[in-house]
Amino acid sequence: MTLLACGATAETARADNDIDKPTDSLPGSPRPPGLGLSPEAPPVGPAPGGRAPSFGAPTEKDEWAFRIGGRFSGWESVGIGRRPDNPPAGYKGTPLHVPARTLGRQPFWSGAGATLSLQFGNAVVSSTVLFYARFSGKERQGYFAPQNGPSIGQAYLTVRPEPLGRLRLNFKVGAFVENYAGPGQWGWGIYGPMLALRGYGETTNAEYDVGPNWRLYLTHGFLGVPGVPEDYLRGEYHSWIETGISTFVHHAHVGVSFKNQYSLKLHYASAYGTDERKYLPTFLTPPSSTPSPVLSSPGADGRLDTYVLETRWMADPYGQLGVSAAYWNFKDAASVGDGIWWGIDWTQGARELVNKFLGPASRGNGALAAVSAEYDMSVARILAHPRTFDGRSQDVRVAVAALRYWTLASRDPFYEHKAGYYAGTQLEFVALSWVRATFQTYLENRYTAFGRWVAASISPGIAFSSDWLSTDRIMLAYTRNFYSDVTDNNSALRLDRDVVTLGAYITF
Amino acid sequence: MRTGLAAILMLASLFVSAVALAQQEDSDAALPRLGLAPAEPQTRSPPPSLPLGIKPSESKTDVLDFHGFVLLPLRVGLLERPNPRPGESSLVLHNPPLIPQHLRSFEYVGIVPDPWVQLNFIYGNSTVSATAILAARAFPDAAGYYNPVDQLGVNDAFLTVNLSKVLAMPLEVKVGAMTGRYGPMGAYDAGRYGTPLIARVNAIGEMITAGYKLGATTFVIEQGLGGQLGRPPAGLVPAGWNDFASGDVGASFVNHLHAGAAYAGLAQLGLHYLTSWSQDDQIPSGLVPNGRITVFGADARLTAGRYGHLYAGIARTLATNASTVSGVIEILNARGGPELISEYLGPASGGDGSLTTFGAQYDLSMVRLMFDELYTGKSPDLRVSLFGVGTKVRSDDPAYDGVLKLKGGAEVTYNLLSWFGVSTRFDHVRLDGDNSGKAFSIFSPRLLFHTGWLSRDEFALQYSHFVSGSRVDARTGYPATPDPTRNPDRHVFSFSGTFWW
Repeated sequence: MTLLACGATAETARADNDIDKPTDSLPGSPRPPGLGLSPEAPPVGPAPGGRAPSFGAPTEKDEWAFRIGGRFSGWESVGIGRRPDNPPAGYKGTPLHVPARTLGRQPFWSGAGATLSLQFGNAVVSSTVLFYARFSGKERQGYFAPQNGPSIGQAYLTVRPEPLGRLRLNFKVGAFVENYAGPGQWGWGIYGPMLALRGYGETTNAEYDVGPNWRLYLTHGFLGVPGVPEDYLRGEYHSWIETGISTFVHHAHVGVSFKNQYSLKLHYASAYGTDERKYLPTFLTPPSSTPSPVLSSPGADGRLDTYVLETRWMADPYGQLGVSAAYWNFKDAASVGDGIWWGIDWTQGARELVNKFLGPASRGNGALAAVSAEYDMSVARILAHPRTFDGRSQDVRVAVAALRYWTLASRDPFYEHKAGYYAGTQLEFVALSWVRATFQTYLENRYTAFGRWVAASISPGIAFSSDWLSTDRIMLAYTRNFYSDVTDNNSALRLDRDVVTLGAYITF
Repeated sequence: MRTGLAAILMLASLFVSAVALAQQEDSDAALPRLGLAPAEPQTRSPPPSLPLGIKPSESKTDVLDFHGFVLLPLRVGLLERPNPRPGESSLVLHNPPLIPQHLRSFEYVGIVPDPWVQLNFIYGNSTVSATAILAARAFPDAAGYYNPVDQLGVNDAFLTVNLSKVLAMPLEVKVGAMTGRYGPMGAYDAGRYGTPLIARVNAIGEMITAGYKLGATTFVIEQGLGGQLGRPPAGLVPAGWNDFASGDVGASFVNHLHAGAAYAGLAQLGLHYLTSWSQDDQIPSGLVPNGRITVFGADARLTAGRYGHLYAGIARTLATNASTVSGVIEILNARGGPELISEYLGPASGGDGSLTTFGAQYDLSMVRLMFDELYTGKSPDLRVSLFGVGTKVRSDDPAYDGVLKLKGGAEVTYNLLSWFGVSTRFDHVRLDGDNSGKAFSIFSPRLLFHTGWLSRDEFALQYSHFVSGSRVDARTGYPATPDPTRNPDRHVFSFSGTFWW
C-alpha cells in the first residue's frame, strides 16, 4: 500500500503508515510508486558521488536527538529629548524618541524578537540552524523593515569523531560566526571578543591532553564571504552597508591550559580581498564625490591581519581575570569585506575599524593595537569559601572591564599616534530569588579629527526573575548619558541624556 | 533526553498554541476571557465560523515531526587577471565563482553547490497533518549582506488529509501552498541536475492522489489545481527586493493531471499533463491576450535490483503568449513565461513556441551487480551514474528557432572506507547544438568524507576545471545578466557540508 507515500515522502509521522519500505537505498532498489517528488523534498540534486541515500530514501534508524534553544526578548527604550539651542517658533514640550537618540555603549540593545537554535543529530554529526526574527511589521516596528527578518542567519554542521587516544577533534562546516579572545568569563565580556570571524567555510578544532594538568588547543580554519554585486542597491534595507568585495579569511589558533585555571592562547587571522570594482566607490570615498562610470582610482587588493594574545586566570573563589592584547595591520583594507567581523567593542569589520581608529584619509592603511581586560567575581562565593556556593542565596556580582587602544600608524595625520580608552562596570545585587538591583556604567573616549569623542552612561535598574538561577528577567532601568561637544554636535537636535528602558528576556 | 523532550513539547506548543491555550483555559477555568489570546491566529475563523479551542477528538495521537536539509558550501573561483595594475595581484579570487552556472538556465548542471537550508515541521496524526517548511538560500551572518529574496521564510505550508481508512482505498488530499515536481530523474531526488525533467508547479491549491491495486500492479492518479497568491501590482518598479518582478505578468493558475502504473516494485510508467494560464485584465497595457504554457510528458522508471535504476522521460512544452504566465510553473528551472522567453524562446518570440525535452539517468552499484542481495551497502563499492538532458526549441524568434540544447555527464564514485571515498564527474553542455563556441565542459574530481557507509551526511572537497567556448558567458550584476566582457573562472574549488534527516 505504497500509493500515498507520493514518491519520496520524508517519512512523516503517520503512525499507521503501512508502506512496504524498500529494503535499502541502493541503486535499483524498489521505491514507492509516485508521480513526482514530495513537496517536502529539497530542490537540490543528490549529494556528490551518489553514495549517500537521498532525502526521502529509507535508511536505518539511529540515536538521533532534536534540541531547541534560544532567546526571546523585548526591550523598549524611550529617550527623553532636549530642547534645541535655537528652537523654531512655537516649539514647546518635551520630545520623546523611540529608538532613543543615543551614542556610545548602552546597557540594553533595544528592540524585540526571538532567536531559535535548532539542532538535530547524534553524537558524531549534528546540524545547527539559527533562526532570527525581530519585529519587522508596521504593527510593532512602525514601518516594514525587511532586514529584521525572519531569516536563517547561520547554519552549520558539527562532526565529532571518536577520540584518538588523547586527541579529540571536531570539525565545523557551513555558514557561521566564531569569536575568539574575549576577556569575559565565557569568552565574550563587556567589550566583546577581540577577534570574530564570519563566512562560509570550515574550522577544525583539536584538543590534546599533554598530561594530567596540561591541555593543548589547536584550531585552524578557512572562510569565505561572498562578494556583493556592484549594482546591488546598498542602504535601502540594510543595517550594514558593505562595499562587498569577495573576501577570504585564513585563521589559526594555538593555546595551552594548566589545571583548567590558567590559559594562554595565540590567535591569528588574515582577511584578503581581490578588488575588481569597476565603478562602485569604497566607503572611504568622500561623500561629495560623484561615482563615475569608471573608477578614477581603482582600489588595490586589500588585506587585514590580526594577532591576539589571550590570557585567563580562573582564580577560584576570587573570580576570573582575562587579559587580551591585539594588533591589527591594515593594507588597503577598504578593499576587504567583513570576514574579520568584530574587533574593539563590537566594532564591525575592516570598514568600521578604519573609520573609527585609522581615519578616512588613511585609505585603509595603518596599524592598531589594544589591550582589553576584565575581572568577574561573586562576593557570596568568596565569603562561602571553602564551601560551595550554588547561587541560591543573596549575592553581589561584579564585572569590571577596561580597554585601551593605540593607533600605531595611519596615513591620516589626524589619527596617527592617537589613543583612547573604554571602561565599564556591571554590578548586580541579588536580594531575593525574584528581585535584584542592577547598576551599569560605561565610558568611551576616542580621538577623532574634531577632538575627543566621549560618551558615558550610568544605569541603575531593578530586575525581576522567577528564581535564583532562572534565565528569565523583567527589567526596568534609567540611564543617564553624558557626551562631549564633539559627540553631541548637532545643536538643532541634541542627543537624549535621559533614557527609560523596560524589557524582558528569557534564554533556554 | 528530558531537555530534548521539553524542547519538542515547546516547539509543538508553537504550532498548536491556540488549541493548547484553550485546553489550558478549560482546565484552569479561573479567569474570564476578555479578548483573544495573543497566540490565536490573526485571521478570521474558518468557515462555517467554528470557534477555536475545541479539543480534537484524537488529540492524544498528534505528534510533531521534524526534518531538515542543509547544504553549505564554500566556493572559490580562480582567475588570472589579464593586466594587473599596481597593488593588484595577478590572481583573482571569486566568491561566488564567476562561472556559467546560472540556476535558471539550461547551462546549470549543479556541480558547484549553492547554499540551501530547509526545515520541515510536520504536526498531526495519521489522518490529518500540517506541514510548514522554512527555507533560505543565504545566511546573512556569513554572507556579508542581507538579501530579502534569499530568505524564503515559510516556503511551503499545507495540510495533508489521508482518507484511506475512511474510504477503504488509498486516497490522500493536500491543500495549501506546496511544490509539485514531475520528472525527477533520481530515485529519491530530482537527479544529478537537480532539475525536474517535465515541470515544477509552485501553487497554492489542492492536490489529490488516489490509487488502486490490482494484483502486482498499482495504479495511481494525481490531480492538482492551484494558483499563485497574487500578481505584481501595477506600477511596481522591478528591483532587487521584489526579485525584479515583471508588471506584465498576470494572475496565473495551473491545472495538472497525472496517471501512472507501477508493477511489482520493478517498473513504473507515468503520463503527465500540466497547463498553466493567465487571463488577467490588470496588465498595464490592458491588451495583452491570455497566456498559456502546457506540458505533455511521459516517463518510465526501472528499479532493476542488481542492474540498477534507470529513468527516462520526454516532455513537450507548448507556449502561447507565455509572457503573462507567472512562475506558477517552471520548465527546466525557468520560472514562468518571462524566464522561458529569456532562456529558451527568445525575446522576439512573443512568448510563442515549444520545447521538446528528453532526458535519462542510469545509476548502478557495481558491487551489487556482482553480489546482488548479499551486498547491503556497508562495504566498499563502485557507483556509476550516467545522465543527460536535451531540449529542442521551436520559436517565432529566428535567432532561437531550431536551437538544440544538450547536456550530459558521467559520475564514478569509489567508496573505499566507511568514512572516505573518491569521486569524479564529467559534464558537457552544448547551448546551441554543434556550435562549439557555445559549449563548455567541466571535470570535477573530489574527495568525500562521511560518518558511515549509509550516513546522511557528506563533506566534499572538490575541484572543478572549466573549459569554456569563446561565446560562453558567465553572468554578473544584479540582476545577473550574461557578461561578455568578463572571462569565466577556469578553476573552482569548493568545500561543502551537507546533512539531511
